[in-house]
Amino acid sequence: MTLFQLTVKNLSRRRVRTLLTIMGIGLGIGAVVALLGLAWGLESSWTNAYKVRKTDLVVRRSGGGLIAQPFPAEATQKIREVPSVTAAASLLTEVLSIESVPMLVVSGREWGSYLWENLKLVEGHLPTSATEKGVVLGTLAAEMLEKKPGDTLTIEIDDFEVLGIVDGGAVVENGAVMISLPLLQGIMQKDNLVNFINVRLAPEDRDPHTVARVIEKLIPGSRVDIADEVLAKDDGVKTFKAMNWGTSIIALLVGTFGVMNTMFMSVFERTREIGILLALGWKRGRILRMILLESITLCFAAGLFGILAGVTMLKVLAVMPWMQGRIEPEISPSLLGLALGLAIAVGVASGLYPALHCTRINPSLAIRQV
Amino acid sequence: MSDCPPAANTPLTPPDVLLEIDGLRREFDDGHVLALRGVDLTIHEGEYLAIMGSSGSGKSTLLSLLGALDTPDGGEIRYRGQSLATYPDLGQFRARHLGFIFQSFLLLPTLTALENVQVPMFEMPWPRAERQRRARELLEAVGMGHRLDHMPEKLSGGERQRVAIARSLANEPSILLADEPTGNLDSKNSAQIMDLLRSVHHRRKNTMILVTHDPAVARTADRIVTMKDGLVIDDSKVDHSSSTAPGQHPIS
Repeated sequence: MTLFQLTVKNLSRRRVRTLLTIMGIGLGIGAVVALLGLAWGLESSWTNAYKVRKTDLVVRRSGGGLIAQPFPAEATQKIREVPSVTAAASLLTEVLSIESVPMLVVSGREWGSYLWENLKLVEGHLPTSATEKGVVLGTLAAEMLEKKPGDTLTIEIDDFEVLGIVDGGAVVENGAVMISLPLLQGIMQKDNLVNFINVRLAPEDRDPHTVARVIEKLIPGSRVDIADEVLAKDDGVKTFKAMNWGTSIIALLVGTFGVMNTMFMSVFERTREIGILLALGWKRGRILRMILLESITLCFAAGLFGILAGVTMLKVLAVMPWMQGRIEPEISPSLLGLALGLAIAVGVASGLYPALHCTRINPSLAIRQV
Repeated sequence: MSDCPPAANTPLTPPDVLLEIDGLRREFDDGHVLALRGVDLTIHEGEYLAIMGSSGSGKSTLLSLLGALDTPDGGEIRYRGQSLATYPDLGQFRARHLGFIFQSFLLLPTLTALENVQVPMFEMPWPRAERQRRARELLEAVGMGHRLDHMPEKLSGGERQRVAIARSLANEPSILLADEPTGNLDSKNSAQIMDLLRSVHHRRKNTMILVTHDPAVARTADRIVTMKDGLVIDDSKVDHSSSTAPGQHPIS
């Protein structure tokens, strides 16, 4: 018999209580997995989109949320003249309700820019000119809108022909409606305005931070981020992540007190048995380890259950209409490792006080308890 | 950490003296209840001693103090010349030198007989297989070899006390402390358990201190200390010249 076997026996004596506690803290851990999976997924989905476009820098107006405020398109030409910049492409990105889909990213892309290069044609064709009144749909967007080439798509009050369906290589690209920049500017009545400029740098001369600072000086009021860091530095995303962490911490605190309650009930019920162990010569440190091990084992099991629950929640969320094409929830080993780590931390936090209580038990009095 | 502190300030004690109790006092309820009023007692190596007295005489309090489960309000207990008050870890002292047998057996309900006997061995530097082997041997020695994997609730009172006796021997203690070991048993089982305890003492030569209110049980000992109102009022040897040889169980 080992200390761990003794721990499992202690936990299994009240199976229903143990299972309910596992489910309680497990759902808390599940919420953490789901919320952080969304937050991390949001970040990685957009970072992937920049990666497939081979964009190194993203220029936008300083301040604002996920969809940045517009600014004059002339800035793009100025950026093209910066040394080390090999290409710059204007974008007007909007989130619109289109037909039956409540929210879709509509990406107005500068005609002839590199932003059209990563789009692999699945069906139909790309626009042949900047003014051709048509759109290209990402594969997911086509699925959500139930459109195929030749169909008509109504954006706001204008009708457009679906010219083609493309695979953009990233969920954000595949969930978007791609349209020539002037057309979207016309729909949104934002003539000559853009809200993002994607910048490519020369591969052999990449010092993105220095170039970013040069562009910020060149375009007053602009903010230039390295593509990998755009979302991490975005105030809206920061707020989203902070809210998710806040909710997660509350869920974990609730779970911690729940487990602490279970552990206290468990050790109060076993005061006599702990007295016996002390009488038989067990060191107080061993008693402390045993109670902590019980609490950690309980929370580890809850962590496994929570991962299962969280991953299920994420899988369900991923197919929700308002999620599809914008966020691909991240279910990475680091997220699952973090969930188990948090579960173990909850186990330590919730077991420590009951365990310390046990070390103060007077064996002489405890063994007389009925 | 050693369980024996330096012996610099401890008095010289003859080698056959195991426990010395000097002026032991214990109070409860802020001094309103005087459980022990100054007990003096000397117990030698290998003695079989019964502490007898009616309820409230202080015998169980004395046993708790001798078992290092409680601390006195005055006086001193010395084990082989070392004051218990100077031991840095009384848990380790209990684990290495004492074996307990309780009236209500106090087996852990979630553990089998074999596992219960292994519990004290956690504090010894023995690997798991060795703990298991020793526990099996001890249970076989007390006639419980056929009940190794039984839970306490499936055992009779007499069987539970046999398991408790095997557990008390787990770490080869020098002192066995038995608190009313037959208090929850019928007369037949009581006789068998006392026979077993006597046999254990006879074969292992460890010191046995037995607390009882039953004169018949006390008479199985070699010496009877009688207590009343927290004081020792009588301390006498028992003449076993007319009794039969102890023990049927092969404790070794």
